[in-house]
Order: sequence, then structure tokens, then C-alpha cells
Amino acid sequence: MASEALVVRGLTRRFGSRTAVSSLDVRVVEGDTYGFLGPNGAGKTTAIRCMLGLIRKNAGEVEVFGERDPVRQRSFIGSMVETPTFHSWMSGRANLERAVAYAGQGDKDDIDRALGLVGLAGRDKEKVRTYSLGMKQRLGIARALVGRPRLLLLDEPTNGLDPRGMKEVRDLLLKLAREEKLTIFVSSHLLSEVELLCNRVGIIEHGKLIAEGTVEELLARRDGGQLVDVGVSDMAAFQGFLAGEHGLKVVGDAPEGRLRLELEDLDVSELNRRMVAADLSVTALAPVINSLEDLFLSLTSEEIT
Amino acid sequence: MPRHFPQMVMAELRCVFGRVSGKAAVVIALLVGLAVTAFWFYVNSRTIDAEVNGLGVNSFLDLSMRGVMGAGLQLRNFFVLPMVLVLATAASFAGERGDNTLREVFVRPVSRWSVVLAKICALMTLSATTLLVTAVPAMLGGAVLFGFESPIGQVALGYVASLLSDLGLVLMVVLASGISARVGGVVVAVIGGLMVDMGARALLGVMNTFGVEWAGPVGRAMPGAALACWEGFDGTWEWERFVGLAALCLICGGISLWRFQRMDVP
Repeated sequence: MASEALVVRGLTRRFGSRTAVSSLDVRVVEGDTYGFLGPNGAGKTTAIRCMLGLIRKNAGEVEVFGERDPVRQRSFIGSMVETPTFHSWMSGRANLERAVAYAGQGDKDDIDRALGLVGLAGRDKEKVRTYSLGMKQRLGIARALVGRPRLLLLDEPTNGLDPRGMKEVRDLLLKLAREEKLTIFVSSHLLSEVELLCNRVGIIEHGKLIAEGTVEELLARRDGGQLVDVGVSDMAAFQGFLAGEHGLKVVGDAPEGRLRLELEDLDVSELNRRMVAADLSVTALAPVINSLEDLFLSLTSEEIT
Repeated sequence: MPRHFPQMVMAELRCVFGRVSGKAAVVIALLVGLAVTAFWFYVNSRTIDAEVNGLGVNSFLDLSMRGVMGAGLQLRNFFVLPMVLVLATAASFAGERGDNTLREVFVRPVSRWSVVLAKICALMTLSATTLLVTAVPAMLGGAVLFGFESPIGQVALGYVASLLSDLGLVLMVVLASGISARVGGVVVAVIGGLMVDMGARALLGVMNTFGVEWAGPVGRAMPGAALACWEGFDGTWEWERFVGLAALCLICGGISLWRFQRMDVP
């Protein structure tokens, strides 16, 4: 049975009268790739900083692999908070050596391995000031990897990257989860990223966790029946068909002149059979896949950036 | 104390000596040692006719190895090198707070006070190095010019006292870095604080002149005087300065550790 990598209970942080994180509970199981999803300003970074002990918490507790001592629990964690910062006048390798010195574990081979994993093996002796944003981001991940962590806490790791860079980082994280068996906790406001990367998701808004579960569980949470977009050659005949059918509800218009229906107590194949039986010429019958975006929007009512 | 504390200090040494301020400190200290030796060589090789109060200028100078080393110590501690040390400390604390590189060590499995201590150790190594690269050329130059006859015990103590006063200065800067995350702000705060201290000491001096007995020792224990405790290397050591320095170190160090321990790091 997998152990709990990260357990957060009742985490609260206030800045004056504003509560940035409110009674947050998070549970990440070893081996998970956990997406911490929320709109900008939802409290993701504040929560991560509290978990890392960078800022004090007003209430709550954090446990990492069963360890409650904040200093000792950091020996399990590799982290990258927002845009990684470096001594720009030092080489990439020197920055990693500094991280190893402070981690108290790891050696030259670990540095070589981390640099190899992020694809910076040939550029490690160059000064960081010559690195592009994407290279700095990858060096930040390499730094999180030195010191042999079991849990990666990454705050918006693809921030500021172009689509190619985002894909590279995503692929790298998938590789780390798959090959290195690392537990990954990644915050993001990018739904597509979380959907592609994570097996479990927590959605935070106004500092509160409003939904948590596997991606499939969350998608299944949507109320109502299966949505389906239907296209027919004779729309008038189709309207007549709908008037005589039960268990169907018109939700609205769909792209390409189709209608979006909600199936209440029949499935798509049954609908198809009935339409054919009614002599309707069906041009399209496309089930609408519920997306995390639908769920996110319905839960947060926020505009996605 | 973490078992890997020596590695932490080594990492900090790399940073402290790698920065422009660290390199400049070593170069300036070396130039001080060489310049003092060259000056003493110049003075020793000719007679200066000028007189002050009926005494020849040469009679004011201690033409010995001790004299060269003492002059090196005075020149080393005259404004420029202490300022470079202030800059190096501010870069190590306020600078790293400002550019968020401090965050990267605070997320490691070490307590914050051990990080602060590692940085202070590295900065004190820089201080000791600058004292050494001033003292060694001055001592060698003095020995070549004047031989080994003059005892250098007191002046050697002056160098040690200078190391202690550098600790006080470093801790003052660490304290200021706990308040401001800007190197410039820290430098202004430290200089401003020492100027206020200078004014207070002047006032205490006046009070002492008018018969307030406690004003004398208190003035000598004030931070500015305490940081100049090394000035007693000519045999005029004042214990109040060392008491003041100890108090300065304890207060600044204690508050700094408390502040960095509780600080929210963005």
C-alpha cells in the first residue's frame, strides 16, 4: 500500500485581514502526480510556501512522509517556487553544487544525473546569466532534483515558457514520475497542463480546496446526463422528433449547426437507433467529453488565463 | 548544527570570494600591505627636513617592523576596507534576500540560524584573509628594512582585535539586512547609524569634560568606539571598548538570528 507523501491539515495563512489560505487539507499519496489547480491569486503559491516553511502559517500542520519536523521533512523535498533564482555570475553547475552543499546529501554524480535529465549536460559550465528563460527553468528543476528528494514541489514550473518549452517541462515531469518514481506536486493555473500531467487534482479558490480527486473522479462529478452534439439534414423533422421523445433535453446550439442534447435516461447508441427508426438522416452524433475546464469553470466561475 | 555545516561554509566562501566585493577586499588589503612597506622604504631611505614643533618628521615614525605592521593595520581599517566588508556582508544577506537566492537555501534541510552562521563564518574568513594579506607583506617588508628586533606582540594583538571589530561590523550589517532587502539601504543604514553614534559620543565627550564621570566609559563602549578597539595596539588598550564590542555582537547577533528565523521569505 502506498504511503502518504504529503498531508496538509487545516493550513491557514492570513496577511492582515485577508485570508490567503483557509483551512486547506491536501493529501498526496506516494507515486501521485498531483495537480494543484486554481486561478491566479487563489492561494497556490502561499500554500506551497507554507508547506516549505518559507512563510509562517497561522494554523495547520504539514506532514511529509510521516515527518512533522519542518527541517527534517525538507530532506525529502525538492522544490521550485515560481521563477527559480540563481547566482547569475556563477555557472549552472556551481549553483547546483551550492544546493548539494546545503542539502547535505548528493554528490557530483547526482549533479551530472540531474543535468542530464533536464538536458543541460553540455551547458553546465556556462554562467547562468547567459541562459535563456527555458534553460533557467530546467536548471531550477535540476536543482530541485539534487539531494535525492522523494517529493517534488513545483510552483508553476512552466511559467513564462513558450509552448515548446512547456511541452519539454511537461515531458520531463512525466519522465521523472515514470522512471524516477518521484511523487510530484505541481501547482498551475493551466488546465491543459494539469490534465495532461496529473493523475490527481485539487482545485483551490480563495484559499480553500473546493474539489479533490483523480481526474476521472472529478470529471464524473459533473451533474446531469451525457451531452451529445447531433447534426441532421432536416432540422424541422428533428424538432418534431424531439417533441415526441422523452429522456432528452436540448441544452443549446453546438458548433457547425448542430444541437447539443443532454441524455437523461438513454445512451448514445439508443438515441441513434431511435433517430434512424424515425427516418432522420443523421450527419453527426458526437458525445461531448466532459473536460476539466468545464468542471473548473463551473466550480470557480473564474476566467482562465 | 548540521553535520554538513563545513560544506555549507565552503559554499558560502565560494560566493563571498567570488563576488566583486570579495575580490576587491583581498586586492585592496594586499595593496595596503605593499603600499605601507613602500612608504616606509621611501621614508627610511631619505631624511625629511620638515619639522613639527621642533621635531623632525622622521622622529614621529616608528622605523621598525612593528611600525610598518601598525601602519598597515591603521590603513587597512581606514574606511575603504571596512566599507568593502560592509558591501560584502550586505550582498550576502540583503542582496540574497532581494534577489530571492536566499530562498533557495532556506528550502534545504537546514535551520535558518545555521545558514546565517555559515554566511558569517565565510565573511569572517574574508576578514581574516584581508588582515593576513595586509600583515604578511608589511611584516616581511618591515623585517627586510629594519630587522626583527622590534617586538610585535601588541601589534599582532591589534590585528586580532581588528578581526573582532570586523565581527561586530558584520553583525551590524546582518541586523540591517534583516530589516532591508536592499544592499544600498543596508549600507546607508549602517553609515547613518555610525554617524548618529559619532554624534552621541561627541555629546558624551562634552559631558565628560564637564565632570560627568560615567560619560567617559560609556562613550568608549559605544558601537563606533567599540569597532575601533584595535586602536589600542600601541599599548593603550581600553577595556570598555571590548565590553561595548561584546554587547554589540550579542545584541546584533541575537536580534539577527531571531529575525531571520521568523522572517517570511517570498
